[in-house]
Amino acid sequence: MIDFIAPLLAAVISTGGGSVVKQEQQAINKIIAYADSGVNPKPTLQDYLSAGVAGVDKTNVDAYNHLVDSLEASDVDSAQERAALQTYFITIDPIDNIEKTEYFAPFNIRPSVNYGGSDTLRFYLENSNEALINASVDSKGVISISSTGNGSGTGVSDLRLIAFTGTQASNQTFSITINTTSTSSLTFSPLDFTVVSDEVWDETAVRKVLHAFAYGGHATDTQIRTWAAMPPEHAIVQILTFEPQNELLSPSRYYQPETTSLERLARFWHQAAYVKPEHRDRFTTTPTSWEVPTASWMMAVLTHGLNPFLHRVGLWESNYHMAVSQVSGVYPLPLLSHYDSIMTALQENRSYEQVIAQGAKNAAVAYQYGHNRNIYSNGVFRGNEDFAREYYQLFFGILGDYDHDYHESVTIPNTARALTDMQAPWRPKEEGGPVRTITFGTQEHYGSDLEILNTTISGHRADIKIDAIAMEAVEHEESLRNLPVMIIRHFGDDTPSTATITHARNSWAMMPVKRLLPFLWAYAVSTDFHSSSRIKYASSIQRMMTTMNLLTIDHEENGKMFYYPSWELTKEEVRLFSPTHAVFGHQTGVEASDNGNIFRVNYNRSAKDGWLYWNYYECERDANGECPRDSNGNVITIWEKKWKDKIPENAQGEYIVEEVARWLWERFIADGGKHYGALERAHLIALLNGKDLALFLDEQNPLATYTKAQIVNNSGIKRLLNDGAIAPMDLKSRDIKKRRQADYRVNLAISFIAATPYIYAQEGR
Amino acid sequence: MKRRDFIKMSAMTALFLAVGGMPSSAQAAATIGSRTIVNIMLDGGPDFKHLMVPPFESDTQSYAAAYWRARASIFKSKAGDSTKLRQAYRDNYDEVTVDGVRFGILKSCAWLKNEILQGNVAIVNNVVASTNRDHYHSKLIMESGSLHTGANETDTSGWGGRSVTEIDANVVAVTQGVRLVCNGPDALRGYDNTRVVSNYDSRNMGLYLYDTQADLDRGSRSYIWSSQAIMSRSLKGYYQAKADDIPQNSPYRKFIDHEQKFRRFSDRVKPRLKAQPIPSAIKALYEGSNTLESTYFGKQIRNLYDSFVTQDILEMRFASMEYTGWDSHREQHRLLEPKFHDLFGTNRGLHTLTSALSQFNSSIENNTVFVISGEFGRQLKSNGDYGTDHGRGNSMLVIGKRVNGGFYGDPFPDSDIERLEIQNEDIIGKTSMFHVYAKVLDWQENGLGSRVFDLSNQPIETGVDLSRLMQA
Repeated sequence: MIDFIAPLLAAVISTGGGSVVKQEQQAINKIIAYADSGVNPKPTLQDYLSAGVAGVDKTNVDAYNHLVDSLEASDVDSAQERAALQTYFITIDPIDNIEKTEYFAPFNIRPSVNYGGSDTLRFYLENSNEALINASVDSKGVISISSTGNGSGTGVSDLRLIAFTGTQASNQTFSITINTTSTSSLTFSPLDFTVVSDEVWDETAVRKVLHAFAYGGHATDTQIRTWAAMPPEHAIVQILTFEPQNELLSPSRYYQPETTSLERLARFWHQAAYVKPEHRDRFTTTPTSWEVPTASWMMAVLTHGLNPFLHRVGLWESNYHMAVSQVSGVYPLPLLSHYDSIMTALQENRSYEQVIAQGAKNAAVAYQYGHNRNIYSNGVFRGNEDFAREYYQLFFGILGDYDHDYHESVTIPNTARALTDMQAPWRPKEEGGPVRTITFGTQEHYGSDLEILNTTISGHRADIKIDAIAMEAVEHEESLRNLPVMIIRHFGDDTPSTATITHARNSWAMMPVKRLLPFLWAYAVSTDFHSSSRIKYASSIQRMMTTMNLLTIDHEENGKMFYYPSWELTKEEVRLFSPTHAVFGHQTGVEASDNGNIFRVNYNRSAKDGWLYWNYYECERDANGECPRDSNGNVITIWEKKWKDKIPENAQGEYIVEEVARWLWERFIADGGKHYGALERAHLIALLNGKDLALFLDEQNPLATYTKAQIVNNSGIKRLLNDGAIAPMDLKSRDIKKRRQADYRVNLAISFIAATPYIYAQEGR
Repeated sequence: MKRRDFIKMSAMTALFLAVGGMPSSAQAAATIGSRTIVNIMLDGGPDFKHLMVPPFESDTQSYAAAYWRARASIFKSKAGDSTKLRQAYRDNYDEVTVDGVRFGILKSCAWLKNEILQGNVAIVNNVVASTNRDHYHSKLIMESGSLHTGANETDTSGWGGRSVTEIDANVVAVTQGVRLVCNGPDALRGYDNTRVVSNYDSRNMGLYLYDTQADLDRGSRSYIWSSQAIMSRSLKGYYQAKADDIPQNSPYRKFIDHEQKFRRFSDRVKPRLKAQPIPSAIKALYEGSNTLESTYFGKQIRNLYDSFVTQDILEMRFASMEYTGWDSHREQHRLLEPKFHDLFGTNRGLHTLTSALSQFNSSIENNTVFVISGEFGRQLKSNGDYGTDHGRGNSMLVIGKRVNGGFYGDPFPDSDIERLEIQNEDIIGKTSMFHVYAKVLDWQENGLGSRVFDLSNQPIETGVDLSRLMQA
């Protein structure tokens, strides 16, 4: 029996205005006591946090208690031993189907632990499939499962206790490594959504997912057909991943760094040979390279070989959900760190509250709100309440409706105190610029317990308290109500129905560990997302990035950065990483749709300033800006856009106007032809024949306009259009002039599609 | 959708069908000099208690003394340092007396001071619209003009949009986006933007159209091969035909409406503006020698000027402006005062605008009212970061030649003396902002306020008579 009373008493210290028990020592003693005897009080989550035991959260605290109870007091009476507790709790990748077992052989466990053959190693598996683990492990002949259990006593249904006993010779030590958990371990669950039928899950449905979640993606038509043929719940886990690269969504045979980090990507592109030299400076990562976050993000979305969905989520997190703004003085490098740390947390499959807490602990957020100056000194709090409020409202969706007076008078002021001694000093650029990460101090931190959200939050540093608050907040009734709705509004539905909202809330609530990816999976293949009543207007960013992605044909085109959309977005008064509403997020799709000025700019982009669409080659211009020409008068190019590489031939090996028109419409609008009506058909047929409709129908009357009724009913017009529809296109002609003319006509057609009403919104069905 | 809006919409639907959505110019919904409301939203929660302050007093029991103690940190002073606080008052404020109330107004806001002294400014105190201290939700409530507007209920009408619907005119948004206040009612979709004219880039209004006729006249064949010619004719013809193809309740209808508005207005706006160059003083606000801290606001001044120049074409009776960045949690003295200066300084935003408009047409000045407010006020006591945190109640300003200037509501209530000492206390909202908006609307058209707002159960401070807010 350990005497834990003495140190407990010794830990009484004087803080601020009065004496309080030093929380840390009290917690340690409680853990030791519980290890000594299970009849002693169970340590709480706060106790573990206060004692500095890493890796404990709401989901596994019972498991920790289970473990501690099985140990002796002497096993946990040193800081080193307590720190080692987490090595017992290694989440390994669950196995959801037999094909995946190969990825788990040899059985990887990290951190490495020495394991004696006569010992028993205990750890918990999350959502594991025991039988497959058994088979996998046995096949390697290293260890075998001597017993399995369901985590009895843990009280956590999705955790399973697996006890391994070595089969090696007694006392032989070997190393086992488990991968840290990653999103590849996740399995699909419909949650409270209903998965669409296979009939609904067709190519158009896949394209709608790609448009909504991945700016159209870069998947091949073949891949899209493959996904459409798969059960939606199988396809979606391939389409939406948090890995740096998704070779199905964005295939490429060229090298790209395998990283989610915008900063690392920027460094690569800064030196990449395939990036045009005049663009490489956009990727300079100095303290005052204000353009680098925008340039790197756009390139990350547009580049084939990475993962446009991942960075679509990155934009949500950094420009909408946990937004910071360069306009507010958030410097590029802290901003990049903000983005990158969130991406890392997502990729590492951390729970969503941990992702949010990571955002809250970033220096960029502190610069944005100014709580890096919050201190508690000599019993006095000095600082502001800005982030103390917005942490709840913006990060978790807690507005205080549960009890406004309490929220205003207790939770927010106390949270301001929790956010003290977060050291992020501003430094001039000569000294490296503002720091990227916060140093969490204790000297000027309010170290005592704080009542927040009707619970007690402990921790001797702000980061500990931020984590603890996150665990409470994510389960708060208001967050459960609002956060999932915020997410689906952003990604898929401007005005979700009551039923959709209910499904989203229930789905979110039923996840014992809330994670963004499985939630988006379930929503993306749900009847709610694929409902004909769903409407999602495109923000300027969404529209531009999707259009540019679908315009891009090849790797070389990426490097030339023809479609660097920053300038185009600026015309629409949108600047990435400088959200329209500052911390309240960037322009929404509804706002964009209501804004006549944005319509004007986009319309004129197609009608007047269409270089973006019309360009189809690059040459080495002379001093006069002229392209060199060959003996036949053709421009000598160093790159040409060849749509034949994307547009499929028909069965006869031909490109026919009508077929090309339909293909383009589906690629850029993705509505299954729902809005490809007589007017759209007529104008596209004309453009793919190199003329506008008026000229195409009557060259002597170029100012004529034609109604739908005329197009549908006038036999002469119908005949001309039908003739135009079956005209071949010279997309693969050996005649350079003809081929270029055909490519140019495709670009005109895209220019037209990009200005129709249907480019501005997506319907569910 | 509110029931009230729904009922109104039933009547309006018939009108839309009759006139094709927008009021036709033949109806002369607005002429230059028609009574017009300019709503200026100060996003972030503007601290009007910093703009107008009680004169520093040494009587420690007075409101003024409590005020200066409570807000000492804003001026980097200790609460008990009366010498420094007195100096801060002298350095930063001019003292004036209105309605027997002595107060200080920021020296940098000399134009506003002058307007106050001329009786053109109603200072309505202790106003409130929101039920909470959240920026986003508070703005939704304020701009929709309904306490029932939910925290994420963006698909609702605004009081400006409803008002122009009632009087058959248009809202002109001179901002980058269209604020919720501009939204008109719609029974099915929650709101309708048919009557909103986006005029952020006023000198470039319009959709491009290649001049094919000019080519035909001079025998050029450029119209056949020019990409611009092909595309502009193509899109014009498409949208013209599409207007009859997309139903009114389609989610895509709003893009047809945008196109039609530009077609309708731009041909008439362009020659008018060409004949009326941007006044140099206005241009200087955003790209000249007198650049505002917010060049964005300077551009809005230009856009609003142009909108008044073309008021009859745009049928404007309500204009929407915004000035952001009033969330003064920190460094209030340094960061907030330049914004007030932008708005109210001599030869700055509003002074420059009103001067230019007077020169253009004197009737505009007499028939325009500026309504200036934010989503909430700040706490009475400053925080530890030289700023102020969120509160609820606030003041607001109504400015114009037709305004009966003066104080409406007690600016320095004795009941706040003790509360000034307590962190987290804020201005008690006694008068609903909706009453103030409604009175301004009543000035625009008799009875309009009560048709736009549901004023039942909306509070009004005892002794405050808003019926005298506006002259007939």
